[in-house]
Amino acid sequence: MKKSGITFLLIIIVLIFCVPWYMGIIKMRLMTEVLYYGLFAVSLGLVTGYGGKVSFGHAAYFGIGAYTTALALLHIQNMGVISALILSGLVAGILGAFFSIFLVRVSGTYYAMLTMAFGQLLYGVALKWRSVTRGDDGLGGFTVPPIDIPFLGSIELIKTSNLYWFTMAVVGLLYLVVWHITRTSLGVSIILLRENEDRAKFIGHNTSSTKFMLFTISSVLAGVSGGLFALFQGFVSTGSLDIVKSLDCVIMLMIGGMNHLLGPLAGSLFIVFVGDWLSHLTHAWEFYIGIVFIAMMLFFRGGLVSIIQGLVNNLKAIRVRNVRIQEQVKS
Amino acid sequence: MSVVLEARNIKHSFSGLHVLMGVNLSVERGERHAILGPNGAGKTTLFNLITGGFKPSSGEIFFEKMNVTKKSIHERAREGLVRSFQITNIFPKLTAFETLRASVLSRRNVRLNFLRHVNRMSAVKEEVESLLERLGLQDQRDVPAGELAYGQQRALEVGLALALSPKVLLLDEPTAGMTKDETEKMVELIIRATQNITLVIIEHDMNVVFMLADRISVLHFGRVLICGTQQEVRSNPSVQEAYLGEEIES
Amino acid sequence: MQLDFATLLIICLHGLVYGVLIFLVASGLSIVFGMMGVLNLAHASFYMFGAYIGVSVLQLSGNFWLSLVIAPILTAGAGSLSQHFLLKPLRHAGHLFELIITVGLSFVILEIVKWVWGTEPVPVSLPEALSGAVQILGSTYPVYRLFVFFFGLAVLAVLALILYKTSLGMIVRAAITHPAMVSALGTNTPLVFNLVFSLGTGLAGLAGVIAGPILGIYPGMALTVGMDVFVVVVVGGLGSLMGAIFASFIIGELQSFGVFFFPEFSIILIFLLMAVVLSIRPQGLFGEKG
Repeated sequence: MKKSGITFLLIIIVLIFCVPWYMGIIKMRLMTEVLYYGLFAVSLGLVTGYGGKVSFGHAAYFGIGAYTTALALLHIQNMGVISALILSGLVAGILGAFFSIFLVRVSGTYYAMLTMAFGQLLYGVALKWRSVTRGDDGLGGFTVPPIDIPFLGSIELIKTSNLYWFTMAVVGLLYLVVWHITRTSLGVSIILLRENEDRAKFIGHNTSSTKFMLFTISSVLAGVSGGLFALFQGFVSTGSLDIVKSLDCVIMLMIGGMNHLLGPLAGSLFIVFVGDWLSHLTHAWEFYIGIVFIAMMLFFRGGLVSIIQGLVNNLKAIRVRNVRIQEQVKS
Repeated sequence: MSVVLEARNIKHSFSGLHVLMGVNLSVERGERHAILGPNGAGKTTLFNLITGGFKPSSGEIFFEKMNVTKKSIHERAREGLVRSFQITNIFPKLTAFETLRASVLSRRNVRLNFLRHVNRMSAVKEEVESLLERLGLQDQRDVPAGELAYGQQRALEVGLALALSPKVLLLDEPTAGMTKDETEKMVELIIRATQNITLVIIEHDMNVVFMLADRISVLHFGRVLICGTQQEVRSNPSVQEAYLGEEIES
Repeated sequence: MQLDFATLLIICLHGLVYGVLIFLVASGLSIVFGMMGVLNLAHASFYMFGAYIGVSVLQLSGNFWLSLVIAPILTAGAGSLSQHFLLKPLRHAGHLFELIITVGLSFVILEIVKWVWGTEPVPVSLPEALSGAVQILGSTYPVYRLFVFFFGLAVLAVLALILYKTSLGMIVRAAITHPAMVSALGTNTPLVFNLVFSLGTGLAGLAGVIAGPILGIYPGMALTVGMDVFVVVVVGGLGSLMGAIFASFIIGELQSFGVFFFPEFSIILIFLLMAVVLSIRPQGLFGEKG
């Protein structure tokens, strides 16, 4: 990675880490949302940006992760937060593995529709299985226990800054995992899916296997992000896995930029913060977000990341040109 | 001499359009076998069937004495039955380096490994670099494939197949659309690269065919007119009739 | 309610009526996909748009028949603008972006509707001539629903006439299955695309107007009906009108009986059907392998 890229990344990491010191409670809570929605969007980004498949049912994994954490904390004695998140990832991963049996067989628009069908299926189950999920009344009343670290004491996650740092740690760790995967041969195989799935087969790739791994890994990540959502909200309802949630994720990913690893985070930052700011100005804030989204799809398909990259390149070009002019003047 | 690739009585139709009507092809190990025929004779369809693009309406394909008719594309490719495409079929956004690396990784059975970083695999890197040189693409190493000149893309197209170290290499009109110079370079490359492997090549450029081919199968309207040496094919009256005034003269 | 012939008949008729409505919406979606390769996720939003415009025209003029004419035309206009400004520029960018921008469009239409008409359901009154009920085979059935059924069939008949008896229809039919070919023959493809898209959304808007009194007019109506429409086009086959007809009536009856007999499972059943079809035969009952 280029030196300037690393510096930029370090600055971002420092800024994210120091949030509790320069943001008040309300904004801190927003940033927590930015983080787990960012993880959710990254999980979609793996499938859509990297693998080239648009999923309109990704909230199924997010939602089942949310419900799993909520139900685990509610019904299982001595359930720890970390164990709950791991369980969420596992359950979402199993669901993802199951759905991918069918999803690997379809492509393009049909894939998008099948993901939508699966998402709606899960929504229907969550809605009607009231004995477990309490339907659209939602599941609440589960307490978030503190995390006990041996020798160091316990961390109360009820404290906003603690929950923020915990979320940051989990999201950061999983983000690293995603980054790592993109550098492995699995990452290469996933890109081949997007670039030319047909040719990939002719050079020996069992693209169904690649897709299976891709979808499963992605669903695990989405599940964990859903678990974090449950911890943060203290309440889980069918809104966590309906089509609106799925489409919100798509919008976040596309606005941020689906071609860059930081895109999903940029997207969630934009939607959460700008959305919050706008919602204080007008009731129709979702309308404006929609307009921004449409405008970006027309003019900046690479998302916010591509806009920033473009600006940086322009600044560099201007600087180079200025240096050249100075040299010409000197000589 | 042993037969490494065989197509037995291949018949295939697309929605009532009969494309192949009983094709028999027998390719011997180590030979360079050309497939000739006018457009629409079914040559590319035959390649598609041999490599698993779809199943023939009837007939069987044998590779290394194994019946591969029911095997998938990737299974056949992994066993060494590899093709290139007449219409360039590459990965547009991957650089030349990344493109060839994809094949090299696949050849080494490294596809779904999520533990090692690919840019730490130095052996792979070396292999890709040497491939780039052999293809004459070392200067285009970091250029996205979609931005390469046509001739360079064709080289990459063939390179993708070569990088898999195939046992039988099927090249579909590798010199299509190339200039005379590019064609010469490509033929040199093919000759060098196929020293120890079996080559089946579809070609329209007769000069290329006569430079390369040990044997030629002539396809005409879905059937094999004749399979024989260059001498036998050139002097065959039905072939001359089928190609009346066309490429044989040039 | 007792389970007798009268009740069954009513459930059946409800299913037929819903089927016709779904088909009016689904036909446009299916044709547009077949022709342009784009699945318009905002299609049901035009259905909703038409319903709201219709009820506004009704409230302003007091004339139901006027709303029946104006609303579809305005909806078709909105569709035409959408296709021209949003879809056409993205043709070269690929299906992924065409699909995604329709998501944005559906959001924006929803927000406009909420902004202008509020989030509460809008009541709509029936014209005198169409209110009341008639006796059919021992059951009492609302006149308005019968009107919807026969009016819908009439629209379908006109649609079929246009498609199979006019030269424009011939071009459209050819373009559904062989778009590149038709373009090569010299037709003004962008214009045909825009026309067909507008027609499709106009039909959806018309469905919205007549569905209003039966299904209600509220911001969530696009989602509710939209889901059934997707199931229909998938099961019937994207691009196949025959498929859409069959599937519409199957889904119509399934919904009607489902709501009555298995209210807890009807939503799950419908999507299970969609998932099964997509997994086993993605091209649907009548579609061609694309």
